[in-house]
Amino acid sequence: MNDDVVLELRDVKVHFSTDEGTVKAVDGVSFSMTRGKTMGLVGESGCGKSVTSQAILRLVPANGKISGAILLNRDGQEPVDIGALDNHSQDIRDIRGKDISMIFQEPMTSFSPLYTMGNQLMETILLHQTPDKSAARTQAVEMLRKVGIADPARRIDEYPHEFSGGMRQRVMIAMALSCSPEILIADEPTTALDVTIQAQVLELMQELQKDFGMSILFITHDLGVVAEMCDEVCVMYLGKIVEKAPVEEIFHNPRHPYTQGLLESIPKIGHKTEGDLKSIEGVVPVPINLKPGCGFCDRCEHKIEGLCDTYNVPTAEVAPGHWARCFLYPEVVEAHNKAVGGEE
Amino acid sequence: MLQFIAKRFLIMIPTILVISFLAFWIIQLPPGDFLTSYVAQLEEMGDTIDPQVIENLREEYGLDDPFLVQYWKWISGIVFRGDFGYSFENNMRVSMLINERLYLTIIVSLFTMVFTYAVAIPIGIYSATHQYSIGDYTATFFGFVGMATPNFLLALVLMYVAFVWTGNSLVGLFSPEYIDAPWSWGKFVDMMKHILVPVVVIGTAGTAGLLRVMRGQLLDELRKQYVITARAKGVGERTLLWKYPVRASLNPIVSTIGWSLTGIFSGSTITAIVLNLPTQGPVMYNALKSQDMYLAGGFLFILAILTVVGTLISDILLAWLDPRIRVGKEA
Repeated sequence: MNDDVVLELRDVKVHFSTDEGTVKAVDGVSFSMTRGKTMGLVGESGCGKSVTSQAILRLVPANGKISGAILLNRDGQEPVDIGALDNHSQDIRDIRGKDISMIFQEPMTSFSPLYTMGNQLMETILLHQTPDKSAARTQAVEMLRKVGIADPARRIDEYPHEFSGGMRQRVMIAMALSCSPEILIADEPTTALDVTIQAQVLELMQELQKDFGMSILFITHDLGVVAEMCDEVCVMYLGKIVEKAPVEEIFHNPRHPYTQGLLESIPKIGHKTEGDLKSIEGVVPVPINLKPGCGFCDRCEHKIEGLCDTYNVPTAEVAPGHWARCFLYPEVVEAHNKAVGGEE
Repeated sequence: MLQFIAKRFLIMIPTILVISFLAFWIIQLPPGDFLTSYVAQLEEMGDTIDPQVIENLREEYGLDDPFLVQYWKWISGIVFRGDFGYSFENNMRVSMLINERLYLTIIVSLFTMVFTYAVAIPIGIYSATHQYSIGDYTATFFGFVGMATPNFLLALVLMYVAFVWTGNSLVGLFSPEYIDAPWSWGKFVDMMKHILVPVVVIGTAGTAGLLRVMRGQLLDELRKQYVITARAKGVGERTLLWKYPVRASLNPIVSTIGWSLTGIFSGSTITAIVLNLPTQGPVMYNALKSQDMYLAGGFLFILAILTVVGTLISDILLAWLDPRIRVGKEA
């Protein structure tokens, strides 16, 4: 495994068995994260981006089954396949909060209202770093200072309900970074915050990334945030990555019709828009008992009859470092023909 | 916290006074009084009584005084002299009757509560963490059967079973030789043997209900984001369960301690009659039937105090459990 790669997902699937059938929430996702860089995971609600992030820490609900390889490449250690670990094993617990930590969308509900911020913050430090309470406390106060909480020595003993949403998210970040993880997974960390607070939190995350040198997996549906934060972007649709490219490529040269649609649906400063903003017609289908074919073809303007609605689409590199999953590109058709030809 | 407790304690005093007033008013509500029902009873049996004697009795007990005067006599007696008045029917001071019954009632009630919580909470936790497992379905089944079975029926069944197995019906709280004996180790052991049946009988319905509450609450809490946050930090499942969701789901259970205490008190009357328990239920019941108003009022008053005290206890426990409830702390 390349030393620059800190995390690699290979054909990761998360299937939930429900009474209605198997929900293929994540259906064959592969990407790798570079040390110290930020990967964006973008898509509409229900496309599987959150479940992907949960799979990395094995936090998916009990009826979900994870398959595929999730390789964690810690500095100077053999890579570990998280995909093969048990949900309750000591190994995964040692990774959670220490090597990979996570911040969540809802700062209001992410803390237990029954314990002080300090208690919940120190819990991570006590678990992974030191059993000494006063050392943990010193470290927790220091972390709170770093994330910009004023008077941290006093506020550490306050309860979550005494903090505002933005402040709670800062404490959440402090908690996630308290053990200097290799990877920070941020699952829509700014969605529930108002815009000014959003900007502060994003700025804070960028500063801390410089300090701590961690990689960030940034999950969002907000393309503006992606442009600001990410080095590389995966666009997800219906449990699959439909396009993967460096951030400039995604914005200047989007290949997949879905990505194009997403970009056209946001207003651009300096451009006079004529009439209404474009929207992508229809909704994401529920991933139960899907027919073969491109998941997006029912909503796609460029649908090729007999191809898009019949065959599962492979991915191919359509430009250097730029992968897409769409039959509009000859590279993809070629990959498809090779695969079909191989079968026959 | 201390300030909070002190404040709650002060509020208790007017609350109890208002309740005492209401209690006294309610037991006066039915038409007539003890003497009219006493006369009626005598006439039924063919006896007559000199109206002058009745008149003297009315005078003596102040039964013709205005309501407020009667209330004042009653409450001032309780507050200043610990005198709850006189029980017409039993020809005894009410305080004597209450003394005799009350501590046994409290013992049975406390044991019942401990039994209820000790059984319901662990099973509720198991049911929630193993939702839809065989164990959960079994607990649910017995829970509903327990809730649906009338106490007196369960009492009869257990008495029968106890009799068949031990040759002793385990009626009452003591064996005959200990009933009037002073407290001793032997009497205590004897009571422990007898107390199991009433505790199970009185506690089963409450246990079954509490089990469902605990299960439902915990299921709600287990789905909350903070549980996932804690798991993402690397906290072990067991530590996590006890530290976060279990503590949160105790909240509604703790806040109902106040009335579950009275529920056990008044709900156990029929059981107490069936099992011949020397608790307050049957005495209270008779007092209400014969309009023995000072006795009924005395019991009502003490029940009210226990409810208020129970509520205080649950408030203090809640404040300890949930920091958001701790009021009076300067922001």
